[in-house]
Amino acid sequence: MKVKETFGTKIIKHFYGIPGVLDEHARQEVNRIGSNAYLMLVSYLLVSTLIVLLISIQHLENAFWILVFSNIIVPIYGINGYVLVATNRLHLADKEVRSQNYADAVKRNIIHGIGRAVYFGITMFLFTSITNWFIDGTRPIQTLTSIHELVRWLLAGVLFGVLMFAYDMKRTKRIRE
Amino acid sequence: MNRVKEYRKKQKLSQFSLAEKIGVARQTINLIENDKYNPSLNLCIRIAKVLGTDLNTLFWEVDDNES
Repeated sequence: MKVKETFGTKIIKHFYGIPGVLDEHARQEVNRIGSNAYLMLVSYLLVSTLIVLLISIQHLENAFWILVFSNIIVPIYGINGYVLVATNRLHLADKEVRSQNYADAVKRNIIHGIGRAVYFGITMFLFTSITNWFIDGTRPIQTLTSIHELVRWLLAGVLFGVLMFAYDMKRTKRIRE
Repeated sequence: MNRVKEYRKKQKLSQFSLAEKIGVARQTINLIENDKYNPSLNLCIRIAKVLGTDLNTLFWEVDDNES
């Protein structure tokens, strides 16, 4: 039975990395994981704000940098890490395919891996050209024409694509009927 | 213990095929069969329809004394 997915459902599936159907069981678990993540995030915000407030009295600039970096690290590694572990533990992120469709699933994973490699490499290459401009005044055209930067982000893109492919393969489960 | 597994096997359906017919994940069928997840009434009705039976047969626990 095919159920038409709403835009909201697609967003939830994308954020939680659920490739299959978002059925009532998956939705229930996603709601529970989301509530836990929200509680962690609010607790972090309260504690980090208080700590940064105390530090800022004596060291305003240090307090700013601590807040900036902890606001990047805690949500990415802490909260996202929790969501990733929780969804994997419940097998919500598994891609189940029939044995006869396994080869197609591997091909799809390869195409996804290549797509992600290209996306990551190009995005980071452009992002670096802008950040370099802000940090040391290097004009974006200089970064974009630098062989060193080009090779660097080409290799980073390939590595990212390979890692994403490996992760997709780990999630792809062959079902024997 | 419900009788979903028993009736699924009678219909010669795999967990995967039953899940596809109902529009849920295979894991959900597995959890229901092992009494690790209580499905909604709506989902119970869909399972019963696909397995060609009724809710009582699938989910009502009958004591030995009653039967």
